[in-house]
Amino acid sequence: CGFHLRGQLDMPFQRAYLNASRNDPFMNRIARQLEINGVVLTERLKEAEVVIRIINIKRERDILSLNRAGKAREYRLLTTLSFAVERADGTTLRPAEGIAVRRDVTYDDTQLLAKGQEEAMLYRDMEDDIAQQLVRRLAATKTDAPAAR
Amino acid sequence: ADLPALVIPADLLGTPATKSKPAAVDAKPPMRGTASPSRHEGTEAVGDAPARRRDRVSASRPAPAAEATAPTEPTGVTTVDADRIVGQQDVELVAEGQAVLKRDRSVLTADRIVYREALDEVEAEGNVTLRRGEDRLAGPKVQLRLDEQTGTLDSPTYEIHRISRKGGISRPITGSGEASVIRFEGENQYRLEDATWSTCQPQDPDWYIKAGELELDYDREIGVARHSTVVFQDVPIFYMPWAEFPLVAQRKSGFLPPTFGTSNKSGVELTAPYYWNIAPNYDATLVPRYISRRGLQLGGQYRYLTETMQGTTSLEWLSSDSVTGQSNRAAGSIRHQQNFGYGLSGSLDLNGVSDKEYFEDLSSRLALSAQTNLLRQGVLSYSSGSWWSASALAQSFQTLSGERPYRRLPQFTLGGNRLVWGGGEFNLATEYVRFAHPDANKPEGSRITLNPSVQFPLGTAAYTLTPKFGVHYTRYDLSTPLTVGEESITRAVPTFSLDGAMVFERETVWGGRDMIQTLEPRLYYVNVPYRDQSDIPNFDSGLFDFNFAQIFSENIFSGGDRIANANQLTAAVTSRMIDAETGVERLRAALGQRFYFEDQRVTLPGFAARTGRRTDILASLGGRIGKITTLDAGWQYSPEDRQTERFNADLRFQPAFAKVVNLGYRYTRDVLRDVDIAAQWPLGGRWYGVARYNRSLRDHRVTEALGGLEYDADCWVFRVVVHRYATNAEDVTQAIFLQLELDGLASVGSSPLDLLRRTVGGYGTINQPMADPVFGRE
Repeated sequence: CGFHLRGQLDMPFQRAYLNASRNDPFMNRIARQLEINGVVLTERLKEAEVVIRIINIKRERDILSLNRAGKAREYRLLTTLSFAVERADGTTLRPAEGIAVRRDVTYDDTQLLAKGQEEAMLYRDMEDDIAQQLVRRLAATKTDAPAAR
Repeated sequence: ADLPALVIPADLLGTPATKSKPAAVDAKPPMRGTASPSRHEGTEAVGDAPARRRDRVSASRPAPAAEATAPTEPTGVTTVDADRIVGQQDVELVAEGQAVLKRDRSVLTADRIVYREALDEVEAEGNVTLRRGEDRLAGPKVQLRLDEQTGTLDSPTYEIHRISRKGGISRPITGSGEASVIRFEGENQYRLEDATWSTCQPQDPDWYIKAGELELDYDREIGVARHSTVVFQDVPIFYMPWAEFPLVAQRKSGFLPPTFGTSNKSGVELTAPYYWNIAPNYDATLVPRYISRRGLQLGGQYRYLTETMQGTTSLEWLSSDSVTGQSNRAAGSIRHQQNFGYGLSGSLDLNGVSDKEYFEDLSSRLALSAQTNLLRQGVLSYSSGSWWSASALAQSFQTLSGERPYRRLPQFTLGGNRLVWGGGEFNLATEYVRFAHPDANKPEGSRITLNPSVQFPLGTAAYTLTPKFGVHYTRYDLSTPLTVGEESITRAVPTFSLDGAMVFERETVWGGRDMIQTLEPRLYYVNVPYRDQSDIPNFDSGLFDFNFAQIFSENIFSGGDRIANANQLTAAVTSRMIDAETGVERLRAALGQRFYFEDQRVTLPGFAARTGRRTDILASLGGRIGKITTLDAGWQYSPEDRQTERFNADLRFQPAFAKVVNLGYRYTRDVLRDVDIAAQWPLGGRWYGVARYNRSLRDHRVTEALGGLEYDADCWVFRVVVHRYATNAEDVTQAIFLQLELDGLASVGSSPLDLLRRTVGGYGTINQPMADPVFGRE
C-alpha cells in the first residue's frame, strides 16, 4: 500500500540556536528531540545557521463538564507553544505559528493530589507531543529562500 | 479581565533603548533659498466659465542642497500655485484663486494665501485645507510658521489617521472632530478648544468626546481631555473633569468599558473598571462593582513583569453584605514567579476566601464557583542545567466543599537524568514527603522514595526498541499506622519494561495537498512483581484515567502509594497525516488496547480489582477533516460487555471569522451524557448572535446556557448577554450583562468578552476583525 520504513528526518540545517533555557524541562525535551535528529545546538547565536525562537508557552485548564452540584467533573488541559524560525541576522525564515494540543482529564475532589499528579503526567505527555510536532515542522523549513547566503 | 500583555521595556533588559520618539514622518529642512520665483504658463478650464482662459502661476523655492539638514531626504521645496500671484521676492507673496502651497508632504489650499518667506510664515483665508499624508484639517482661516509647525487654525474640522499595532495586529484608526480653534504646537502636537474627538466616521459620528480643552499628542499617542463629556447618539452619558485616552488604541490608563447587568444573586450590578498603565511592565486595574442587593464591592489587580520575576495580585472586598449580613467578605490571590539565577527559581500561589460561599454568591465566573479547593503553595526549584534538579514544596488547601485533601508539608524531590555507557539513559527520582491532614482520624506520615532506572534506546529513525530496568524503593514512617505495630513500612519493587515502535511512511495527496501519511505500530510490555501494599495508607494515589497516556505508563496508579503488579502488553497503532510542505500535522488516528497475563492484586482501599484479561479498546481521531471543519473524537469500547464505556466528539465548523458552530457530545457509562452546542453567527446587517447550550441528558438539567446579541457599528459595539449556570445541586445563577464599547476610547475589553471567549470556542471579537497571527485561526 505504498508504506515504507521511515528514514532519518532530513533536517534542513545542522547548527541551530534555541532561545530557551535547558533548565526548563519542556525546553530540554525540545532540545533532546532536535539532538536526536542530528541538530547541533550552539551556545552562541552567531555560530548557528538558524535561530529557533520560542515565543510563548501557554498552559490552560478549562472546565469541560460539571456534575450535579455544579462542580467540575472533567477538565480540558491545553498547551500551546508558539515559535518562529529566523536566520542568525534576524530575518524571518518561518513566521510565528502555534502548535496546540489538548488532553481531557476527569476530576474528583476526593483524589486531589492524585489528580494533580495525573495532570502533571498529561502535561508532560503533551509536551512530548509538541516537541515531536515541532521537529516535524522544523524539518519542513525552507532555509534556501532568497537572501540566504 | 482581558488585559493587554505586559512587556519588559528594552532599557530594563540592558540592551540600549531604541529611540523613544519615532522618527519624523517627513523631515522638513528649512527653506532659505534665494532663487527668484519662476513663472510658467498653464491653462485650465473651470467648470462655470468654460470660455475664460485662466493663467495659473506658480512660484517655486528649491532649497540649496548644501543647506539641507538631511542630505538623503528630498530637500524642502516650497511651491506656491495659484490663479494670480503678486508680491515682492523674499518679502511677501500673495497668491489668490485656488491657491496651493506645498512643502514636502504638506499641502495647504485656500482661496488666498499670503507667504512671507523671510519669516517662514503663511496666512491663508477662505476654504483653507491643510493636508499632510492622509491627515486633513480644514477651516476658514489659518496662520502658520512652516518650519516650526506652529500656528492656529480657526473653526477647524480635522481627521488624523494612524495605524494601531496591538498584539501584532495592525489596523487603521482615524481620530476626527471639530473645534473652535486648533493650535499647532510643533510636529504631532495639537491643542484644541471646545473640541470633539471620535473614532467614528467624521460626518455625523455616533459617539464623540466633547471637551473644553483637548490635547492631541501624536508622539506619545495620547489624548488629554479637560471638562469633557462622552456623547453617544447625541445623549451625554459620561462626564470626566480630566481624562487621558489612547489615540491609537494603545495600552493606556483609563476607564475600561463599564458593564451593566442584573443577576438573581445580586440584583442590579454596575462594574466600572479603571485601568492604570503604570509602566510597560507594571499595571493595575481597579474594579468598583456596585451590587444593588449586597452593597459596593471593591476589587483590584496588580500585575508586574521584570526580567527575573512576574506575578499578579488580586483582591476583592465587600465591607458588608446586606443579603447575608456578613461583614468583610473578601477573596484574594497572590501569584508570583521568580528566577533567582544560577538555576534557582521559586513560585508562590496563594488563594483564599473569607467564607465558603463567597464564589457562589459573588462571582460571575463559573471557573471560580466550580472550585472545591483553593491552592496555597510555595515552590523552590533548582536545576543544574546539566543532569540533575531538585525542588522543595509546601502545599496546603482551603477546602470549600467536600472532603479535605492531604497537605504536603513539606515535599523535597531530587531528580537526575544522564547518558551512561554510551547510549544508555540513567534516570533517578527521589522524594521525601510528609503528609499532614487537618482531620485527626486520618493517618499521617512521611514517605521516602528512591526510584533509579536505566534504559537503553536501540534502533534508528525507522524503529526503536527500548528496554528499561528500574527499582522502586519506598519507606513509610506513620504516626498512626493502619495495622498495629506497623509504624514503619518498606517496599521494594523491581520494574521492567520493553517499548518497541516502528514508523512507516508514504507520500499521498489529501484535500489537494501533498501529505506524508505515517503508520506507527507500537508494542509496550511491562513486568512488575506483586508486593503486598495493604498496610500502606493512601495519601496521594488514584487510578489514572484510561487513555493513551495511561496505556503507555508502567503504573496504572498515579502518586506513590501503590505500585501495581504487572505482566502486560499494550498494542497500539497511530497514523498521522502530515502536510509535506509545512510539516504541520493535520489529522491523527490511533487505536490501542492492553492485554494482561495475570490478575490485578494491588488495589486502592475501596476499589475492586480488575477482572478480565484485556482492557477496553481505545480509539481516537482528531484534526482537520475538511477545509473548515475540525473533529476531535475519542471512543472507549468494552469488548467484554459489548458496550461503549466512553465516547466524546467535538466538531467545529468555522467557515469564516465570527462564524463558528461547535457541536459536542460526551458520554461516560453510568456517569454522564452531555450535549454541548456553542455558536457565533452573523445574523445579517450588523448583528451577530452568540449562544451556548450545555445540557446533561442524564440529569435532565441545563448546566450552562448563554445567549447573546452583538451589534457592530463601525466605531462602537453593543453586547447583551444572558447567562445561566448551575452553582450547586439545586441552585442556578442567572445574569444579564449589557456593554457598550466605544472603539479606541475604551479599547481594552472586559466581561462579558471573557465569558464569550471561554464559552464559545472559536469566538471572534467582532470589532477587531483580524486574527491573532499565532493563536488565532490558521
